[in-house]
Amino acid sequence: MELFAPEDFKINIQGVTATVTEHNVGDQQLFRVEFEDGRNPLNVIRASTVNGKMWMSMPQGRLKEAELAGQQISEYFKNKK
Amino acid sequence: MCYYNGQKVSREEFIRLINLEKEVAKYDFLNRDIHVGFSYSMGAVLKPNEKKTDFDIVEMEWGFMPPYWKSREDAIKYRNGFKDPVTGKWIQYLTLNAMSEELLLPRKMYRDAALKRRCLVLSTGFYEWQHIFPKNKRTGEPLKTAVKYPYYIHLKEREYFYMAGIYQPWTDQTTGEHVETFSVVTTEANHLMRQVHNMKKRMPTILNDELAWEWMMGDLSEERITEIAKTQYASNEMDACTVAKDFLTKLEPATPFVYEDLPALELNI
Repeated sequence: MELFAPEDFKINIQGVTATVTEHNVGDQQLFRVEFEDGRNPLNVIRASTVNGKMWMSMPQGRLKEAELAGQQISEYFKNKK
Repeated sequence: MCYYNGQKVSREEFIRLINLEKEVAKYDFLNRDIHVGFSYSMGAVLKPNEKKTDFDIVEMEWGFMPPYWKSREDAIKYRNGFKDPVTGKWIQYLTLNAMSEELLLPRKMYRDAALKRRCLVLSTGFYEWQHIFPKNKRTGEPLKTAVKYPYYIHLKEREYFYMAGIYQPWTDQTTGEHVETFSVVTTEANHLMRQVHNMKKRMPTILNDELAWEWMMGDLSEERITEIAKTQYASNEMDACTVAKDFLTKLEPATPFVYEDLPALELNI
């Protein structure tokens, strides 16, 4: 039995509210973004690229959305007290 | 160099991402299964017979559903949450657990069940996550994202035990489907659980045999219901061990797993 729900928080991506939950998958941090406008949920992770750390979608293919969601997730943690 | 999502990443990073992608494929987030914390699955529950002379062991759906949820569609909407079209507020009802302090509050969803339909949820143990905030190597300040370690918690001398529960028969008014649903009562965490479930500091209300019988069968006053619901099982009769982070996919998820960098729990009060 896993009794308690995972922590979640809300972000706003270009006017659309989304609920974010944090997960450990394969011992790595991953964020699950569920949009209120009904589009498919998005998983995002922080990856290292030649240009430094970037947000990417998991599985790949939704980079633009991952970047926007990732920015808001970073913002949330920056403002978290 | 390889590419991922159109970005140049190192070969090492590419392997990490591809492996992670395979792991993610195993997860069924959309079904809200146990990985997300919500299974809404069936659980073994003890409930009294009509005259409260004996009890039955039955299967009920975990996740209390009040009678005014008219259909499964309603239930999914309330469980997953939605934006109220009038107020614009986010509405969501998480009914896996019922807080002992709020059970009997006027107009509370659980009040009627707490007064009339108390049950016991059978368990052999449960899992909970401890959040540890590592320090920033440069500044020494704690980071804002936690590293999470899963624990398996059980009772030392008991193969199974009882958690206080409340139940609600529910009928889908569009299909006629009938189920009994339940919620696990929770209380303030004891010394052990404060360290394990260190974000919310809550634990299930675990009852010894005597209190379990009284909870299920007793004709109780509101004060006594609240008193039993707030029972805090003794830390020294409980045990908690870390398990692998992918415990949910293991055949034996409760197998202990040691994290070398994780300090041991403080067991003395």
